[in-house]
Amino acid sequence: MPTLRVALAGNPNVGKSTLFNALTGARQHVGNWPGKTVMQASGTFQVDGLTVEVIDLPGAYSLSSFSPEEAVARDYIVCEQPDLVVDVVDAANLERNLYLTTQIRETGAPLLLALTMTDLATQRGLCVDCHALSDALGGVPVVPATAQQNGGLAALRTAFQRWATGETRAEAPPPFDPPIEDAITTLAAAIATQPDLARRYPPRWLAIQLLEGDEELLGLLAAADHAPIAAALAASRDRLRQTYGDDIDLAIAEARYRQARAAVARAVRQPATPVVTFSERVDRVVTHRILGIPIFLALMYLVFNLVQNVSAPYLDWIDGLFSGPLTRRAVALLALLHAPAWITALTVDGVIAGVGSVLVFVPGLLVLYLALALLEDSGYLARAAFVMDRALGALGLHGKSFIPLILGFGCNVPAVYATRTIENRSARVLTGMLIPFMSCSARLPVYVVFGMALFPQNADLVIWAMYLVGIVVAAAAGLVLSRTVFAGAGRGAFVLELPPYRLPSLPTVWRQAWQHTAGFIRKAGTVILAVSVALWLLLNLPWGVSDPRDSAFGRVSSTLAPLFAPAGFGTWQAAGALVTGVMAKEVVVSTLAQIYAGQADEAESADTTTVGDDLAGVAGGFGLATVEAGKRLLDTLTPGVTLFPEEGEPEETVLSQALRMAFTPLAGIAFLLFVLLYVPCVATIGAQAQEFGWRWASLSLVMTLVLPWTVATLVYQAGRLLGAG
Amino acid sequence: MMLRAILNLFAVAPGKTLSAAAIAAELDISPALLDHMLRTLVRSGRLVEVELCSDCSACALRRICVGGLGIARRGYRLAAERSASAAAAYTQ
Repeated sequence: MPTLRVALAGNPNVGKSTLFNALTGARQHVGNWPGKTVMQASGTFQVDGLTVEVIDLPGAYSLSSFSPEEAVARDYIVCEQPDLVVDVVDAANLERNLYLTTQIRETGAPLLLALTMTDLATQRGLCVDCHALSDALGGVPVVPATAQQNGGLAALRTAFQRWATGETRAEAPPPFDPPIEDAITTLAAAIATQPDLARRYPPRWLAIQLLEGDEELLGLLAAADHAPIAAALAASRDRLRQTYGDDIDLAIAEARYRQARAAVARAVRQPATPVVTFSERVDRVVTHRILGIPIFLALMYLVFNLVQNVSAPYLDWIDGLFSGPLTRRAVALLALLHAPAWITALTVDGVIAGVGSVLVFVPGLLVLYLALALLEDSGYLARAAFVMDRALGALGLHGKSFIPLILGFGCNVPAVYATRTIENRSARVLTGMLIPFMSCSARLPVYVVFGMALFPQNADLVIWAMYLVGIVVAAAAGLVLSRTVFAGAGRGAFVLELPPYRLPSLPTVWRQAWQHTAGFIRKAGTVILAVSVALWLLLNLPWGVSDPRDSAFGRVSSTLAPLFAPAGFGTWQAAGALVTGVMAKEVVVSTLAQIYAGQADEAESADTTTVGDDLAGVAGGFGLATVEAGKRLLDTLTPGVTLFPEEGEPEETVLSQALRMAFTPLAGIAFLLFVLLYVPCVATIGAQAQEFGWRWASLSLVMTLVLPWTVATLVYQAGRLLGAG
Repeated sequence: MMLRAILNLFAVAPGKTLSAAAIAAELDISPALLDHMLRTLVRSGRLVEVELCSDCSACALRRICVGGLGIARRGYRLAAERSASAAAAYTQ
């Protein structure tokens, strides 16, 4: 029985394996290609007495030795010389797929085109004329063969039969540009004189590969000492350089693309009006040169609006939980255990006040992370990064800087490490210097607590403005540094493939948001807990000190406080919070909470509430918070419409009351600007030192001390002059 | 010459991040063909493909990193940081 050995070639993801499975059914053998970790699959089927053996070659975009897959496909077609190569071609992306077709034609292998994805092409309004395509490809048979359509498979089987009887044969591929064609002819003639090479490789094909500079084949040539071919190659390349410079390989590739485009022009009827995809339509607006940035800023405002409005009821609930039932139960338990008074004070004023003040932001962060995860999973965040980069790029930053800078919004530490993707050292260091100005999520609790205390009606605007100021300062600093310290830093362009828009997957969104929120909770249970305990000790040393201002912490903070007086927050409490905030920015809040909690009346100590009352209160509070959050969510998502008017004044925390007493709104803004711009945290400084060396880390340290002080002072003094103080 | 036109964009757009979709539109080719051309330029050693945060599950920073993850599938840059003079060679 005659056997036809058929190799299935094609680009990845064109339906080649589907076609292979449909043709061979269960009669398959799967293994690895000899010496490669690339999977090999082969199978057989019968057509009217003809046995067809099908070898499924690895998906390849071209026949080069660039990747193992491409090398396997090339070696099989060229060296094993199958009876027929079936090039599986995606009809919806014909131009791209025909590049491989032109290369297979160059090998001289018998070729047949199997058109898949014809249904998708039709959906896109494309009409592929198989006869015209065959004509354009010098008579290479073209068969529609979408595996899901039975008719397609039958046509392919018939084509195999016709091929086996020798009914169809194609012409040689068209010539390249005359200079290249001359060089190929000369070189092929030299190759033909070397029997060992000519037996193994088609001379013309080998000549093309050598002119393209295929390293594997050039190595083969050198190893076998084919001096005449090497001399002919050198002479040919010298001649071609006069026309193409160092781009001989590109000229050959261009010729293939031209062939592919010409074939498409002859065989494919495009829709009268080009079909615009959903992603393209949305991108025209959201990545628009002018509209892109306002849309990004508006979306970010909506996110912070959600953070503030939706999380506020939960924030009140958790604050009540910590300052009420949890404190009461802890005090009761410690009393039961006859714990000394200082243990009770440490637990209540240190651990609960410190850690609790940070944990109240868990709902806010969860809302933030949920919103960001939704934007990310939908594909928008990539566009936001792109839009933002356009603004930053105009200021002289490296094209790839935007990735670390965007990461900086989450946490500055991984952002510093992410600069490793930038090869140019100056550009890397410059980006690393700017990352601290990207407002990390640890700074959010500070903005929220100050925003809600000092600007209860516009807290979302304040939070949003802080992020915006961070971007503006980073851009300005980038502009200055790239023209001074980092003048001449490489600024290579970067082409980015953006993912398509899609409906976010809710489990993925939730998993991602929770992962980040859990990280925040872990931090509260480690770094913030440790700092809270240490701070409580420092606030109570020397032992028995009654006024925290006289404590070790109070005295050190009081020494530093005058430095901040020009910026409007020259109190020892503010200075102390900024000092501990260097450990982690959330600690600014926990420090203020501990200081002000220590100064507040101990109103809860005489409470007689039962455990049952507390549990009922907690559950009821959670229910009310959820209802309120739902109302606020609806209100936020319907701008301009107030569905649920606010009833009464929101409850105030001890910290909010204390902050309103200690800060004027102007001083509060100056303080927030300082928090935004000053030293991010010890972990970031460590990362900078590790990545760029201590010299640059020290420069960053100085920059993130001088700049925030200057900005905060300027804003405060200017505000006072304008009568806002 | 499409391939040279693409290299020109890299060479003459310092500090820019270019969207593949926008380049395809500018060159009047399909995004799929541009993708193939970018791969050809990678194969020829002119460009380097850069994998961007494409796989969160395999990333060591996933626990602390927020935002920016998965922002883009991949990117391309010039194989070596080319000086202005080297870039000029492409523009001729």
